[in-house]
Amino acid sequence: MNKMYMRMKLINSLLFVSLLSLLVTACDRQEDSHEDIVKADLLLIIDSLGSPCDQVLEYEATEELAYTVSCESGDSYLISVNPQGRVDVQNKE
Amino acid sequence: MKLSQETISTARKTDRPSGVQVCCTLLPVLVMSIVLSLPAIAHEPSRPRGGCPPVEEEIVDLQILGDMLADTRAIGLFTKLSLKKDIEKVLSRLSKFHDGKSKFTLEQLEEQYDLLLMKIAIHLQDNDLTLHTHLCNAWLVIWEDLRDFDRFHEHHG
Repeated sequence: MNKMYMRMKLINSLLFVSLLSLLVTACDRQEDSHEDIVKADLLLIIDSLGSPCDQVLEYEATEELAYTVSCESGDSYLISVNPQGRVDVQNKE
Repeated sequence: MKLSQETISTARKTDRPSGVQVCCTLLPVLVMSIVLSLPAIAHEPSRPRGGCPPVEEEIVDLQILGDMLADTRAIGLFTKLSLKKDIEKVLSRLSKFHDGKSKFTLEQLEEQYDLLLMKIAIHLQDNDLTLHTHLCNAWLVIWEDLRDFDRFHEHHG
């Protein structure tokens, strides 16, 4: 009886772990939209230079490798790459 | 009913397209081909290549760039791991694209690639000028390699 109980408990635990790993895998596979990816990357670029932003609300690609970004913090930025490959983040007044 | 020699020769003349007719047919084709080739010319990337300081040996692979990033002291460990993961994500999305299973267009993937290189460049531009110069020169070269089906599979297959 005790053996049976232990076996059932083990099966239950294994089932729980399997379901949990399946859930984690499913969540991991759900890929962001292109817009979300761009917003996250622009936020990282702004953060890397220590400029406040909190969250990117809107962005617009003004030309190749140049963006205007509006942040939740109320700040707006111009992000661009110069011909020497230097990334520049300017606070837009 | 007999046809005169003159009638036959006139008929032959009207059958053969004149110079004006040939021009009228070919001109629209010529104009169309020029118009169709214009977007390709206009889309010539304005990436930071022309202004990059020269390097002796160019990086031609995103994986090689990733390996060089692992060796630099300009970036902290956690940022290196994060960038490595980002490189793998972009490569995985491109792999799906080349296999016809991507939800992203090539233009979107190009933008994601550019943003990845911007994220890397921002860490190098003040701390590792040598690697930043390599990155600057490789920006366009690597993309050309990634967007091409055969070259992508040759390097990342």
